[in-house]
Amino acid sequence: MKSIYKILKLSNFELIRFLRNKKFVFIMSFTIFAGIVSIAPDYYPFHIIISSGRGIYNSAWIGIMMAIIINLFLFILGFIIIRHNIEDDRNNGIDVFIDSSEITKNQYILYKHFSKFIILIVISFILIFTSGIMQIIRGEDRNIDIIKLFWPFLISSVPTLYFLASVSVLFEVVKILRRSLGNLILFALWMVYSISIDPQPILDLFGMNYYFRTVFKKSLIIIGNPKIIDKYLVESINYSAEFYVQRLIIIIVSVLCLILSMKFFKGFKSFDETRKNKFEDLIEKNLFKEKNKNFRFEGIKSIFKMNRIKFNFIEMYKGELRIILKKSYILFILTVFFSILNIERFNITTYYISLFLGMIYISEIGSREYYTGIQKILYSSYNFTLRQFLSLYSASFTVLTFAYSGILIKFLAEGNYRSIVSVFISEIIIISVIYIFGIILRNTNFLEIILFFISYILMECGLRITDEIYKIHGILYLTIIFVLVSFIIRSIQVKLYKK
Amino acid sequence: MKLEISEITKYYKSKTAVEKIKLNFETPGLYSLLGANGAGKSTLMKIIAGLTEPTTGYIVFENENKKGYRNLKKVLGYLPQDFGVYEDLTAIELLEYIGALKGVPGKECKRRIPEILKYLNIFDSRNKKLGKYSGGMKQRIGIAQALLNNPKVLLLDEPTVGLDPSERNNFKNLLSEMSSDKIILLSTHIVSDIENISDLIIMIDSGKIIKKATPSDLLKEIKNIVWETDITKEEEDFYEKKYNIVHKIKNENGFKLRIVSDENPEGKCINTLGNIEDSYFYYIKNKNKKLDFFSEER
Repeated sequence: MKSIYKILKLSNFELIRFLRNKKFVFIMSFTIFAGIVSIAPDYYPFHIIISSGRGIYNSAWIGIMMAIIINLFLFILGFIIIRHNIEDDRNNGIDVFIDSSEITKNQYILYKHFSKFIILIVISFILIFTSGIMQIIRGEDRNIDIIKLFWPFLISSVPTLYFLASVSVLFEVVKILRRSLGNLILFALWMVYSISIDPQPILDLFGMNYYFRTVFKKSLIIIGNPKIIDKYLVESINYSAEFYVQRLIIIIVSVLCLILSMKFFKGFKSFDETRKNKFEDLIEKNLFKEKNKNFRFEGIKSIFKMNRIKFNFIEMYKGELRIILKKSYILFILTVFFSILNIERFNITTYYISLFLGMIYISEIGSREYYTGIQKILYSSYNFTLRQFLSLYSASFTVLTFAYSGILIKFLAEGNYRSIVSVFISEIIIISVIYIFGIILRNTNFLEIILFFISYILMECGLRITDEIYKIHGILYLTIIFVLVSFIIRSIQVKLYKK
Repeated sequence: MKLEISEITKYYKSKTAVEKIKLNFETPGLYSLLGANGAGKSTLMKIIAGLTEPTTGYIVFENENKKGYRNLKKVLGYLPQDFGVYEDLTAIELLEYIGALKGVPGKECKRRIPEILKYLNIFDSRNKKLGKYSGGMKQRIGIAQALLNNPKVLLLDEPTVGLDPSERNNFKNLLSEMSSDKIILLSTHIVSDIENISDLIIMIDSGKIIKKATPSDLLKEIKNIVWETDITKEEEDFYEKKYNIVHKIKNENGFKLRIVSDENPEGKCINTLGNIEDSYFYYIKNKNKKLDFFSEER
């Protein structure tokens, strides 16, 4: 009983922190927007979750729509929000209090899991509440039935969110899944379960198969500009016994994930290097290989004592390269592997997987300084921006070229030199886009999700972007503009920071 | 109340952080760990607080061995050298959060938090978000959380960092009061923090205890070995190399030196009353550490 009280109380503070965070405003704006657009009038230019027919906007239909929205979109968005709750304690320096307190590791994992789950539930409640208001505004049926509005959420979304909270904890506890590899697995899960496929997968995680078979009378499209040709009345939804069993299995799997997390969690010692320390260390070893032999890196403070540091471009390039490659060797091997698969026979899926993985590999180049605090060092250095910028670009370019080596070898063997140049141009554009968005968004997870969706849409369209980009009129000018814009944004960033 | 630190050794890869540290605390009091930066004080504190596992050795509290570690945690207050706060929470909220972590009952927490905040002079800022706190205020929050569960064992790792002189003084008074019913282990490299309040001073260097004695015994031991003399600039190098210099103050002709030495340096120095700092230098006898100490202290 005491443990439960403790977990509830600690989760309460976690929720307070979330509600006061700037992230919350952004998340709620997005959520409310999603709520509005998902029950938009027919003449709206933009809809999400639509079929060529739809139900009358009553509580039952809106409840179903909200459950789908939560399962499809909050699954990804929510993952970003709750992704690093445990690591945050380490980076915030709260870990010392937790480690020296009498809370057990299992209690800590349960508290983190519960607080993640509660945060997701709160967002969902606000979304459904908004949708209730939208029901009145739309006016097709003004009788709000709370049970019908919340029933699909309770039955189909709560187990999914519970699963997400468990997976998120597991992905934090298992070291190898803490970064991009964990994100990739989640994207893969999302891709598998967000579409209705036949035969149905073992677990209908989002309930999409069920909804497609029972509620949507015609084809289901996510995001688009539809022509609603059919409206029908859905008075309630009766879930089948099979559906309930599926939900139960999801909860059981979630509990198993939670048990595994408790087993694997070795305390904060497993987070040996905080992100900040890791980058400080990398900087020490790589970027500050100074010409001046008298200089010794002794932490951030020592840098401030230096008025000028002379940077050698080659040394910096090598340093940047090491920093990027430190991200994950497994990911790099995977990227090259998928790229090599294209040498013999081109395949749009492996092509886009390698493209996406390559982008993931350099996804931190624009944002890493924010969560490491290392910008104090970088910006205090004389004439640093241009050299750092160029060395970063060169290092990223090298990494991407290796990542896309399979595709390049194929073009080389075919004597298709135009496509090779095209791949190089694409690489520069990719680096610029990632750099610009990294600086603006300051969030690697969010950026990776954007990159994922872009790759997904391009793959669905069947566009071989890297080898066909040269056909775009004025692409060279466009590339130069991209590079210039990223440099300007970087310069503004430095100037704003110094102000 | 008994806290026993038995033959604690900790290796970090090839580096020895602490080596065969053996200490017994059987009565309440203020015990000070004095040593230069990197001497191993914080590592020892972390091991006692349960943040780091020792390579060998163990901690016994109230006759319970390492496996009964949770019992120590129940009565432990720990102020780490480096810590952070949730910047979105207020002081009261953070302390309630830590109270929950420590298992302090809600009512007890609500009663104690205002008391501690008043004592530490941050009560007026209790509802301000911690992100807006200054470094010194955050340090006081750190002290507040360590006192929250009315601990029997209080570990304070460099507690006066960021505190202004008046806050330091208040804090020393608070420690004096509390030491009557608690085992307080305080680590510092600033001698003035512990000079008049310690019951026992433990000097530590390169992970080993080099001296353990009460302040009065330390002073007795250095009674006839502290010297003062005026030297010229030309003599500076000679004295620096040959003697263990505690202070070097510039004057009109050159420098006034304070030296610890078993014999009268060059036979021309004047014997003077020693203090804990002299004693520290006497036992350390390490030039590099001495310089570190100078820069920190002054």
